[in-house]
Amino acid sequence: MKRMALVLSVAMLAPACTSFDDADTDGPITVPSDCREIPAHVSSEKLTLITDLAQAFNATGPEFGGECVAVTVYRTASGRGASLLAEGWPTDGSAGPEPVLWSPASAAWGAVVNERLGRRGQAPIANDFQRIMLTPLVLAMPRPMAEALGWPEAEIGWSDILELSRAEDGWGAYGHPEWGPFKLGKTNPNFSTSGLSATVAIYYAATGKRTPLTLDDVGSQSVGEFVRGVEAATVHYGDTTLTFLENMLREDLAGRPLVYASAVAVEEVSVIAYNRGDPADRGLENPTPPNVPLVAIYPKEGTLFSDNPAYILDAAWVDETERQAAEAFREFVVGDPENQRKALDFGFRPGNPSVAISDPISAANGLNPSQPETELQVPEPAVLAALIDSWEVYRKPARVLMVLDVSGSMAELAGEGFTKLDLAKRAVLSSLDQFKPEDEVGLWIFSTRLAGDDQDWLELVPPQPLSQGASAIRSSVQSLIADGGTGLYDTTTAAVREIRATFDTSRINAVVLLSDGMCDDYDDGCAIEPLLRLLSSNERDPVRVFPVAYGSGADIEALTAIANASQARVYDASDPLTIERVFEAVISNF
Amino acid sequence: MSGWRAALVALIVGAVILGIGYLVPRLGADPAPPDEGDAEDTTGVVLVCVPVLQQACQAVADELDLDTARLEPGRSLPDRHVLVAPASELPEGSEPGPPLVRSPIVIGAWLERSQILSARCGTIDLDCLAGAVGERWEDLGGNDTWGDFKLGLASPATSESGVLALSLLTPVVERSDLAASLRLVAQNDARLTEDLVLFGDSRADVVVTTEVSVFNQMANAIGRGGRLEVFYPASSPWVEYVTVAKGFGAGRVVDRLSDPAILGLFAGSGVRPVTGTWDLPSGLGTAGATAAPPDSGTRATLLEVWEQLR
Repeated sequence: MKRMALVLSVAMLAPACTSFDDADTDGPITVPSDCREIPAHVSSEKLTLITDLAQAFNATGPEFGGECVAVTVYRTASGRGASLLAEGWPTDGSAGPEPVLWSPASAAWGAVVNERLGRRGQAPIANDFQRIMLTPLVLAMPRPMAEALGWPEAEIGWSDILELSRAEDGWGAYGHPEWGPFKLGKTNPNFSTSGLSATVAIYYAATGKRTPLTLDDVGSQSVGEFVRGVEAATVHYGDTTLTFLENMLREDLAGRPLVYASAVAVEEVSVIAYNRGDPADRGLENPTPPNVPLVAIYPKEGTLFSDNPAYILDAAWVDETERQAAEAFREFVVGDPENQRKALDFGFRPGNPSVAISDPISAANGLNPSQPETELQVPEPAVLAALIDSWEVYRKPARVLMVLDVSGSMAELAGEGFTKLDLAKRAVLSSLDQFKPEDEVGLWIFSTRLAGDDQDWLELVPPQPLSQGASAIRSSVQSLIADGGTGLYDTTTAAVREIRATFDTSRINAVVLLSDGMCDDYDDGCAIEPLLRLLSSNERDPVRVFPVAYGSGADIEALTAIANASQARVYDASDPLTIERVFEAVISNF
Repeated sequence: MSGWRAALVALIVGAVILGIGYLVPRLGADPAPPDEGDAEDTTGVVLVCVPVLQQACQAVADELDLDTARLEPGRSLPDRHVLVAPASELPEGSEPGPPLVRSPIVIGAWLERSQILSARCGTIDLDCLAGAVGERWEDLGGNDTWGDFKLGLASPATSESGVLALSLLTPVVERSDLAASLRLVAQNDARLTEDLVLFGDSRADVVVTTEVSVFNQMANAIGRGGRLEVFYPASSPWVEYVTVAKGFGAGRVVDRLSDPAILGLFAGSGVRPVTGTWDLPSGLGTAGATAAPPDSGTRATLLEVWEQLR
């Protein structure tokens, strides 16, 4: 549910948006041949709920203007939806049918669409909305850690996080040196609504203001140092909070509940899903709840809400029948208290004020329905753009070794006349723009016996600031050719050892591993266990390995095990044509 | 013409006349006056109210066996509809009747916040608000985590309630303070108090709006973990709601809206009938003196002020 591949921010301000969820349906909604389709595009966190409700609505046999109608539901990331609406929804079906109803994560997106249309002299189209449900951004912490900070009585906020981040003995400052340094899980604000909300909240906390942020605030040196201090505690970034929650649950169930992260910036609804043992809200029949639950801290400096508006678009493609049908569906979702209670069951605060907030939004789940006490406002678009630019300066720098598979199978055609290697090269080159100049980036390739009989990998560019190494990486990538086998495990082992040997605590230390096949270098060993043991023994100097399973022949099982052992995430690019977008998502971790 | 032929012609002519008599009003071409003796003549008439009167109108519609609907902004009133709305929010070309019900502009506040203000001001009135805007709660005697004093208004650009609320505030409140405190702005007063309850005191501590809009959300507020209180300025303008009837049977419905039993339903829903004395629901009290609404020149000035505030 928390695949908020969305989002955002810069995406909403500049045409060059980045987003990853293609429009797709999640439920078996079929439109009878004699019925009119009413397309609803919604952000991913409410896809299951709205699909369920659309099916129930369609079952009532709704008719408008003498026509049978059926609501269909498409998952469209908020930022992507905003960009498409502002720039003109494609009519080739690549983004799904033109929406009649649009529900992004926040009403801020509607304002963005209207603002961008207005800049071109076009009338606003996101005007008429009702809120489906709400959820505030919180800091989710394992209960013992929150209690160490004085939860639930103490007022805790980002300033306390800054203090913990700067404390030389980490949790030792609170009597728990065994917990090590404070570690923050926070998604990338360019990709995730939660990440954007958290970043905005940190800037507010840095200023001490509750009135809207200004360009002067964002440009202030003292604000920047505050932001840098908080960001320094970040484990890694990423495009979805689900990565953090799934890693935390896996570590918890393995008996290491306090190792991976000390706090994660997520929406309140995610705390409930996590404590159920189903962080992705997949509706697992027998989920295993964590041994140590999360509790929600509502930052004392204030926080932001995701308010999930449902817009009926004032767009040229929406006719009167479609409008009436969408209004009826929206009324069904928001106006019917029973349906609003379903939203509550999912862990959202109902958008219908007549439905009381009750379980599961309760103290028993580590939540406080009376919080937050101060809501922060989304800054104006120009300020928000400046804030994101500023964050790029102050975010935690990265030290990344990119390890590319150049085995013979990479020469296979992948579509549109390109080989898999061609597409991978393009993705790597494109991703370099996502790093900042101070990020250290290196490049290895691997197949089999690239450097004598014993070594399957070859260092092309050692990790160095991108400002110095970018041209070397570009020229190296362009000259790659595919040949040989797949020395997957010994290469990964060597890459991890290389980064660990020069571990830099001030950076995110990681390996990005792109592979399209199974380990087949049996002479040097294709046993994965030693590698997994190496990755699991990294509490002091954690090197995250982010594997990309590339093409249909990739060993997704092994790559998932590698990602899990290093508390990272595997990425699926089984369709090689998606590699560029997938690689952007991978680099969003830095 | 033979007798049977004459009878047949008479029958056909009569049928045509009857048919025309039936069809014309339904087409809306020439609405017939309400037939006082025909109890069915309001069948099919639809009652349309501005959002803040939805609860009241639903109770009335249930009593009169009418359907209800929403009027989309900018659209004309369909045939066989009755509209209840402020005169300034009617569709162009409407010919309204006299005011039916009305609601004073009041101060709505969360109980916890109002207790702090009461301790500071004694009486929660406009002067009290004037002293609170632009301040932080910790300076007003409240909790520092409550942040700034946060005020909510319906937009004067789209709502009569917003115009009147701004007319009440601008003489006593510094504009810069008002701009700093204004955190909740909604298209209309119904959405204003709905947002107030949805987001709680994290978004606004106090709203200045119609009494009925606060009343609508009082019960909901309790389910969302709070309690809303109403405070009456010594003098404030009222939003008056007039009726517009269109088509066959609509005039008859308007007449019925003035029945004491129906006016009692309005009163029970928190909106006060213009005539008579009525028991108001719990939570509402005695309104202050009635202030004259702003004239057209003042309204234009208020809208300019609003543009500067936003």
